[in-house]
Amino acid sequence: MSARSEALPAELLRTLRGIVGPAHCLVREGELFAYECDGLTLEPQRPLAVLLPSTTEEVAGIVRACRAHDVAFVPRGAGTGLSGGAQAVDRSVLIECSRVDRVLEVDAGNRLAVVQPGVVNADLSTAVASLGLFYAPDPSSQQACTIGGNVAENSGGPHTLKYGTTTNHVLALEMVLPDGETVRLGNRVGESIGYDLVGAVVGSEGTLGIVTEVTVRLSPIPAGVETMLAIFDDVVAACRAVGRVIRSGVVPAAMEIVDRRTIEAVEASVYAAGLPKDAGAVLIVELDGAPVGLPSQIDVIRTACEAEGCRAIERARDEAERKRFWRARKGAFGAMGRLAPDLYVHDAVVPRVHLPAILERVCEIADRHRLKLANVFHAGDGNLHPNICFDKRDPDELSRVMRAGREILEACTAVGGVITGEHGVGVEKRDFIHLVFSDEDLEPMFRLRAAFDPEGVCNPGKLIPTTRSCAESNPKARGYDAVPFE
Amino acid sequence: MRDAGGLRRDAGSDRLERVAVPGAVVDHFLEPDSIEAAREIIEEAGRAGRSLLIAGGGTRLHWANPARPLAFGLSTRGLHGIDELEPEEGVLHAAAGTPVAEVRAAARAEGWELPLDAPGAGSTIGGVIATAVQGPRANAFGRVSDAVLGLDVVGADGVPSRCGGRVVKNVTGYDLAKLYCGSFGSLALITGAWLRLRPRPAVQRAFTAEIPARTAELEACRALASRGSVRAMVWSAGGRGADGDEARLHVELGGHEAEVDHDRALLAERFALEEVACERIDALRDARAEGQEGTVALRARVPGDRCAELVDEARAAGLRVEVEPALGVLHGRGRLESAAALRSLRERAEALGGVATVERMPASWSGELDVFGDAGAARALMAGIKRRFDPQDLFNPGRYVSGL
Repeated sequence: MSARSEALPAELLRTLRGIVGPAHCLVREGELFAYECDGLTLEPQRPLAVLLPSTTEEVAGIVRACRAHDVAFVPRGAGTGLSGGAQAVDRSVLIECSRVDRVLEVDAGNRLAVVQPGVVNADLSTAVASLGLFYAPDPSSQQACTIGGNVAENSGGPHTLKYGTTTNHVLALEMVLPDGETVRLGNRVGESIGYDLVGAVVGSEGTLGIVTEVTVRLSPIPAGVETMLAIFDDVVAACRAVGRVIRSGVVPAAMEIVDRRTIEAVEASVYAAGLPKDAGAVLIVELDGAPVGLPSQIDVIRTACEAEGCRAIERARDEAERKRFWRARKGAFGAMGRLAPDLYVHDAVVPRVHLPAILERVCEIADRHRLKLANVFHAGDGNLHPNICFDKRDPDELSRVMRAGREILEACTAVGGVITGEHGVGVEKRDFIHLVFSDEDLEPMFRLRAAFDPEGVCNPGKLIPTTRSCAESNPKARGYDAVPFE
Repeated sequence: MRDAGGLRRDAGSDRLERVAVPGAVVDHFLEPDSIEAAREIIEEAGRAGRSLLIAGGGTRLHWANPARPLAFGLSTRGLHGIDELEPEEGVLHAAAGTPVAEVRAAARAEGWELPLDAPGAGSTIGGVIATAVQGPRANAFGRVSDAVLGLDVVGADGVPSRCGGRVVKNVTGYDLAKLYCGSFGSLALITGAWLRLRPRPAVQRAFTAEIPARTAELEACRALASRGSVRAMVWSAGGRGADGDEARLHVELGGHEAEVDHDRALLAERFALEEVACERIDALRDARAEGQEGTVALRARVPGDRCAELVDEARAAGLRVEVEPALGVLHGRGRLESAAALRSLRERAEALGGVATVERMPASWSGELDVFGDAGAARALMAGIKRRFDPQDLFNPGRYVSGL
């Protein structure tokens, strides 16, 4: 493919305006500014244009027009992703899905809904609540993030432990392929004829096409919910308690740990949940299901926590108290954001048995690099979220943040972990993928991508190295410290 | 080195065994005992341009479209064993040729449960993943791919690779395991898998009841099948007019004692339950692997609220049916007059918004209808994937959907 244009060709601009209307084709500097990055703010890049289509046909028209002019395109949901998956690298245009935001059908009898990709995650659950149903994947950004974005990233959330990630809840897709054709994959019963292309597309970070309709599985709202909060003197004991629960056979809906550094930040913020500031960690456990089955599970949780020396364990008496418990977890990112201008939310997964040792290692890395780091994590899944507060205007601190980030990923992969559990690879970790996969492992991924997008026009530069030669010539990854930041 | 099936090789064993599959016959199976040996075989087959029949336990080789010419069989049975089982973690890694029953027992011994419920004693881990075959406990276990955390494969170029990993949550790279699951050996040879286990239920009980074979009763079952402790629910009835109008319900409950008791009581309000051993559910499952020459086995899945319509049609056609009401799954077995009758049932399932796979049919019908159904507009994408993964058409040529 030839080098791509630095500016949007005039003829293409005319075509795009004709497709979506001038009001939905943003090209002015001020309009594009807001679309320079998603939740990963380290490396902003301005798109050539932002298109806001309102129908599948408009999406297909945009794709065909861009392809005809050899201009790459990038799908974007709400821009809440944390790995730069919706960033317009390689002089691309952004296709923003906020106008395709209708719930097209709810089939309560078969517990499914057909939605457009711009539907906000939490809005879907609200829309079906009166039917006794909800949409289970609940990423922290669920008040803003969209179903289309969730499909791209295979989003998870605290309740992944019991309910699984987005891939477990998508039955069928309509998508515009990179050649502009529209296909339907899967069906309402969630069983494809032939290869599981729905499974391959979910989590593909928008690199295989642009999803224009999603059929999702809905779940019954559980009749009973019990939320418990256990306070520990140290985070290692909290991790061990999680191991005991997993071993017991109880499958909680969620098991989340907040460490001492996060507790301090939360308690000093508007999210204060009344936690003891000298606690080493708190463990939040949520159980749900038939009320008759919950008391015995509560006993198991209590016993596991007490066996690991928890200082206290509380059970939420009402919804207000349940919300207070969760405030410590859900307010963590906001509270951390108060401590410095920038917050780097990391994401890695380790086998659960390695959690205690890895947490010590993560803290050691941060301390050695003189960084403010706190941990909030999905303990039941072994999914770490080390958060680093920093000021990217300080080049030295930024450099230390990047070095620490790499060391954290190296520590996690050294014990059999992976570099992302739910935020995606995007541009953030694309070149760290070699910490997990060899060139031989990546080759089938290149083949899959080429089967959908042989010309590499759909969200280029994400998920895997752009070309095989790139992977081969740069097997150890470029490293964050080599990334040119603004 | 010795010469085997026309190929030179060093490791593993060879087996002279004549196996007929739809469209082809092979006389020779190679059983590599290492990934390196599998690699050599595949590389050599590629150089010679000779296609392979990919096999695990060989229990479902009949379940395929007519093959294009095959040189010999490549079996994973020599790749055997559980190399890691993390009792604290609830994950294990097994070689593809390990029998499912062996993995099931190993997990059970450590207090876990393998959420693979494939019918038949000879099923291997690799075979279950390649065929994505489910059993009656799919209600609790979910899809086969839900249990697969990562896979080791050898590609058609002979290069070993892996995808996914050993952790329970992972979005690193494309989810190729989803692509390999259910691909019937058409893209790569699966050599090993990381599997996620489930905690063994504290209590597990099975019940049966004789009930009228009426739509209302089936709908009542469907309503109860979504109770939290229902692991399996199978409603079975004979072909209309052949076996009277009685149906039998089998239910397996599992979980914490109070919940199981509660759900059992709910079921007992509607049905006269008789407690039976949980092995009864295993027997139901394993019976699905059996079938007589000349008979039909059709598995359909339709939206749950339309399942009764398909049940009526299948029974009217003379098939004995087993229905999993929670999932809208129907297994129809027996004899049909013609391939057209079978095609008609599939079209009905598709018209109801579902799919239907022909797991068994008379040999003379082979080629008259696609075993897997019509992939529709996605066929071109699938053909493109097959072409890129297996450009020489070495693996199971012709046997998969649309003759891929």
